[in-house]
Amino acid sequence: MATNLNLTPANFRGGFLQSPQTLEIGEILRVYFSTRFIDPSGNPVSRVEFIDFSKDWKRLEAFSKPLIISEPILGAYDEHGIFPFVPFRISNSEILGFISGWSRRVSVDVETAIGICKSVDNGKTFARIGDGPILAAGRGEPFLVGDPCIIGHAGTLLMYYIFGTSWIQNPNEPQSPLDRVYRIGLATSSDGLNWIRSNGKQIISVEEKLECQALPSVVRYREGWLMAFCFRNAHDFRMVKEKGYRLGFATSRDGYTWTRLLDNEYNVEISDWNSEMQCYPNLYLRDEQIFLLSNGNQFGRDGFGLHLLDCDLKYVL
Amino acid sequence: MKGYFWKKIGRIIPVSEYTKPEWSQQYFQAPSTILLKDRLRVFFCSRKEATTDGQYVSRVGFCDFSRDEKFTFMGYSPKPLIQLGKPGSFDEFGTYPLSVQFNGESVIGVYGGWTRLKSVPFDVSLGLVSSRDLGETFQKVQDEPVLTKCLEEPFIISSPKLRRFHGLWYLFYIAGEKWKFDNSLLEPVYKIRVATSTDLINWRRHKKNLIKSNLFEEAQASPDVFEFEGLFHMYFCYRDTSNAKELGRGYRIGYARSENLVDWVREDFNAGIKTGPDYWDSQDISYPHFFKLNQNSYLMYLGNEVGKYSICIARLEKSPF
Repeated sequence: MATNLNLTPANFRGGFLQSPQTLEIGEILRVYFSTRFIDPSGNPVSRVEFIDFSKDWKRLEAFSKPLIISEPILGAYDEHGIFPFVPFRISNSEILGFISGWSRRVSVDVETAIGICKSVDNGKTFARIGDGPILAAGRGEPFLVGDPCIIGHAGTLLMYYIFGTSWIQNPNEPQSPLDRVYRIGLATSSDGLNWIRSNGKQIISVEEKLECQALPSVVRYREGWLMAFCFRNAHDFRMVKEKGYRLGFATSRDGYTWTRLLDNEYNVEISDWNSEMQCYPNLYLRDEQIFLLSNGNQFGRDGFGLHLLDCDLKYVL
Repeated sequence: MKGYFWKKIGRIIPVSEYTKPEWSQQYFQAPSTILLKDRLRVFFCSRKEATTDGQYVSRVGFCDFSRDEKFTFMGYSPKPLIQLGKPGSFDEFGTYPLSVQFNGESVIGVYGGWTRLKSVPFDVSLGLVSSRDLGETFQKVQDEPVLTKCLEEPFIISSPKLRRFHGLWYLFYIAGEKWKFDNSLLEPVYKIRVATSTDLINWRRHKKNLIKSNLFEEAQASPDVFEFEGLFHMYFCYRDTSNAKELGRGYRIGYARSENLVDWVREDFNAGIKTGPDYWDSQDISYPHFFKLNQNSYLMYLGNEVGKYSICIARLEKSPF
């Protein structure tokens, strides 16, 4: 992997640009991301904004713009923020927006679920299709369902997503809030609204017991499939670099069965913006080139960057 | 039901002359019965004292009575029957209500699991438990909910009533519609719905309110359904969601009839049960539960303040008029 660029606008106010998600709109590359606001209770709420690029990744505007979307209702799965917002084009004018919605809890920090909204004006505005989620806690997946990535293949929609497996106490910090463990799963659908899930089946192998896996992003390339995701330790991931987020990759021949690349089978170029952490990847394929957007240090506090995947793709197949 | 009324017999739980078990100090709610060889087993939900922050955790147990229609008390379950969920689980903060049915030799239960949110006080999803010993102990079929919020039902999936008709499982339940502020307190508005299943785990939701609302922002609960004289009958309760603590605005028992379990005609005037005259059910009555004993039909329901003090019982009788 080569060529990394920091795409963050120089004049951005520095309040997180997390989990970039790419959508083609004509000649424009629109990148949605989540940024943080403080709500009246003093807690951060992730809201979605976007910034447009030309197809050679030149920023077209100085400032990002807010996603125009109907408001969540009180008590709903997404009332405390959207992170990430995942666009999926279904026609020239219609785009589905998959919502990874956040809701604050009392005994644990949060619960998440996946909802859906739709644009019929080519992305100018989105409206929630319903007030509730399309995917929430279910058999084998007790909580923290989120991070959707949608791929259409052979008349079926595939959704890669994450689900929580446990909330656990950091043994070194018995007084701190519980930490969460989450893994990557797969569901299928014919209409985008009703999903058949695998009831807790984890599709990406785990390197160690307390590994958390997030933000699967998948592209089909030639005859193969490539997934990027990020992973970290359940504990101490904010302070200890070795336990913080890094990028992982996996390949597949059919989208269902995946083989994780070993550490020495890929290399993510590092520079100042991602020297401490690499997280929240988004793969985007155009003209035989795979682009990788991702966040860097401090979970994307200062923005996101771009890699051009310079693989001979021997691992893709 | 047209041509019938419910003749009140009295209070049945708690049984005043006995020491209440530790898990059942306050609130006696959501009765649901199974008939055993020698007894009527009444599952219900109850609570210990509130914690210092004023919060309760509702638990499930049972109370046994003779099945000779004298309802002679035979004992309480010593402990709660459904374990609370682990941190972050849907049922971490309570199990309420529970609805049981025999499934062969097993007793199957669908229960509401409670979690607590920061913005609104709670959310509820439905879990599934099974017992091989006639309800003495229950095991969770899965740790996750079998019915939870979905696109059209954003929260509060609760008040389950499990029934079986013509070889199919029917789950009547409520789905939250919205949270509203009432005198600065948050109040949910919820409506009666139905889902069907062949395996109790995968449910097909009808995704439609079954009962037309009579009140503005009416809350509806406890939709118990049975077949009687060739028709389906539903008893449920409903209340105002503004100033619901005022006399006459709390829960009342409503009634509807149906030929197909999906299309319902609401006829509260045919419910055949109202508040009073006894002091224990003079203000509000709620959570009706229908069951048959010998040749008679009975209704259990909650007395004042949604069962804070008692579960009551009434017998179906032909109307003299």
